[in-house]
Amino acid sequence: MNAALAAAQAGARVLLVDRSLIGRGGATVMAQMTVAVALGEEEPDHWENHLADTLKAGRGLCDATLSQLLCEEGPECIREMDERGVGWARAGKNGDGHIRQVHAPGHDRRRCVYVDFLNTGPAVSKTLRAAVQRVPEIRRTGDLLVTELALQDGVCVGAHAVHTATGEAVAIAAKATIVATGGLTRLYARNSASINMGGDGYALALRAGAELVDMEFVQFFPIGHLAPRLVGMDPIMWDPFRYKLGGRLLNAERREFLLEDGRYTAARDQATYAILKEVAAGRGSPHGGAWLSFEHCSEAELRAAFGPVIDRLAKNGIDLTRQAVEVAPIAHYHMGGIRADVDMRTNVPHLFAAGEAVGGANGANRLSGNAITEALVFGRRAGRRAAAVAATAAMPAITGGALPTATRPSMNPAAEIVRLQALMSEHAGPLRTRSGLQCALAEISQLQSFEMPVPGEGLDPEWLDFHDLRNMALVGECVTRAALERAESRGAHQREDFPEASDAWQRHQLLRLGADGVRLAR
Amino acid sequence: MHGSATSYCGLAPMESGLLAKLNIRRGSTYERFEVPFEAGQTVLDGLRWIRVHRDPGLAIRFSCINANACKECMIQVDGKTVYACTTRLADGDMTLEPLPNKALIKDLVTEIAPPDER
Repeated sequence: MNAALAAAQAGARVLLVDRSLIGRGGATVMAQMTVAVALGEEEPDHWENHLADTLKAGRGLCDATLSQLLCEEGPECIREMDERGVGWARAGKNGDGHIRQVHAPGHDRRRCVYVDFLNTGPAVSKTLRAAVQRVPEIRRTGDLLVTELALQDGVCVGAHAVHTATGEAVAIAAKATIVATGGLTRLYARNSASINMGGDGYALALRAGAELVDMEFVQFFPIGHLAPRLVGMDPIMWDPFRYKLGGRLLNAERREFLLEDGRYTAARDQATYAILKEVAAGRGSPHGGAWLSFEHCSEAELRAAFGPVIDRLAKNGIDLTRQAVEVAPIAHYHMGGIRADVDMRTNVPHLFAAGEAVGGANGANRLSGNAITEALVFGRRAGRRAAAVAATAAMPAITGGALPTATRPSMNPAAEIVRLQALMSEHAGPLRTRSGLQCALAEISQLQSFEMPVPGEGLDPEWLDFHDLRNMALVGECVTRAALERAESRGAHQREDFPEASDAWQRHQLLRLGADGVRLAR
Repeated sequence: MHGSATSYCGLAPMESGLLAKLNIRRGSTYERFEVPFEAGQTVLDGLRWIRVHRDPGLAIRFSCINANACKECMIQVDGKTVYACTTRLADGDMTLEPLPNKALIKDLVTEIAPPDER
């Protein structure tokens, strides 16, 4: 949405396409935590400090030009959102003071802005939705599923899509195209993202000839909610609790195994690894995670920090003054993605990427709070540059998309998606081995052995699952191949058979789709 | 994953003995599905279980699954308009219908997009 706004502002006419409702899916709407940005409102700061922390968290693998863009233009984009009325939490009794910035793990100072209560992502999404609605140059179309990018002589000229409600093929001609489809966390059984985060954009870009980078680096958020069952709450909700109140992360022996001493300091990759090691050693919580306790906090402290959220917890039967909850790692973000330069150009002419779909800015481990900053900054840059391309290109003519013609395979694609998620979680999740990854590759190849069938008339949810299964299996293959090749442990990629980081592996892996399938290059 | 007892959809292995009988409006008729569940699970969990285990053709609209952030899963349960993701399954009969005041697309899916986003 920020890309659409920037492109329209730069004079382009924009078509904003979503496979469901505009601005309701994706990852931003789900984000309940903070946004990292060197505003210097709470204490002096400079984007170079933010960059230093980002590079450090990335374990030597950040694409520094992208990281710098994120950190340097972050403040402008965050203030732009402030002007649009997003409602960053402010100091002062009447909320009229400076923008509040809190400390989050991996930052050297208080740098992270947020919207109360647990409302950062929804507020950002809502603000952007309202902003795009006010711009007549942005035409918005939901329920339009892009099935392939359209190419002419190797140049991206738009996309082929299916209108999901009717099953009709739709051809979209465009002088420039931006992929802003987010990440791939739906590949994992336990994930914190919307249903549309199955790696669609990666699959589209790959099939169009674009390169993917760092696909092996999937971030698991260490303290995703596990038990007891909560409804109406996002599983990553404990992050704001921890940055405001600390909290104690405990094993089955009720011992703090991360040596945090009640503070919230451990980086995501390290905390994820530590929790899984406690579980493997038989010291996990009953459902296979760790305990997170705020029992040392008073009712008044909890209520001051989280107000209505405490009531929502009570409705779920949870009283934090009397009980700990169970948490465990949950697929949360993808550091890898489409390879793009600092202008968000892919290696396919007139094809751009933005947001989480872009790989490289966060290296092997993303710093807490960088995702929304990245979405806003990269979106703005992609929108401006795509508009510049569109200003000089001729409108291409593309013919109607050819719908697939194969007969429907005799399988339940919804069940096969679940199988893929279980497979990825077990073998290509936070802990990996050579044999496990090989096993995953073999099974993924089975899941790819079908031809896309012809869609039915009207809304055809089974066909949509075939579409998703096809893309998810291709993207799962990319993650698994890259993970198998990287014979070391670094950040979010932990190989049990290669537990140390290796200097020789301080480099990126690229993936391309050739006539003989997915190919790796360094 | 990680030895969790919570399997896909947050639906645990069928140990509870709880059984929701969902009567789902599909066009002009109702179809009945029996869904085993654990206490605390939601109508959306049950609908996703049906798609995986019984009928992938069942149409429902949802995005965020559990957070009540996307507001896409609005349907009628026993005549009341609710979000499927925050309504708990009940041990017994429940009637699920699409929103009555919106154009029907299929099964429980209605046209809820703003008119200028279609």
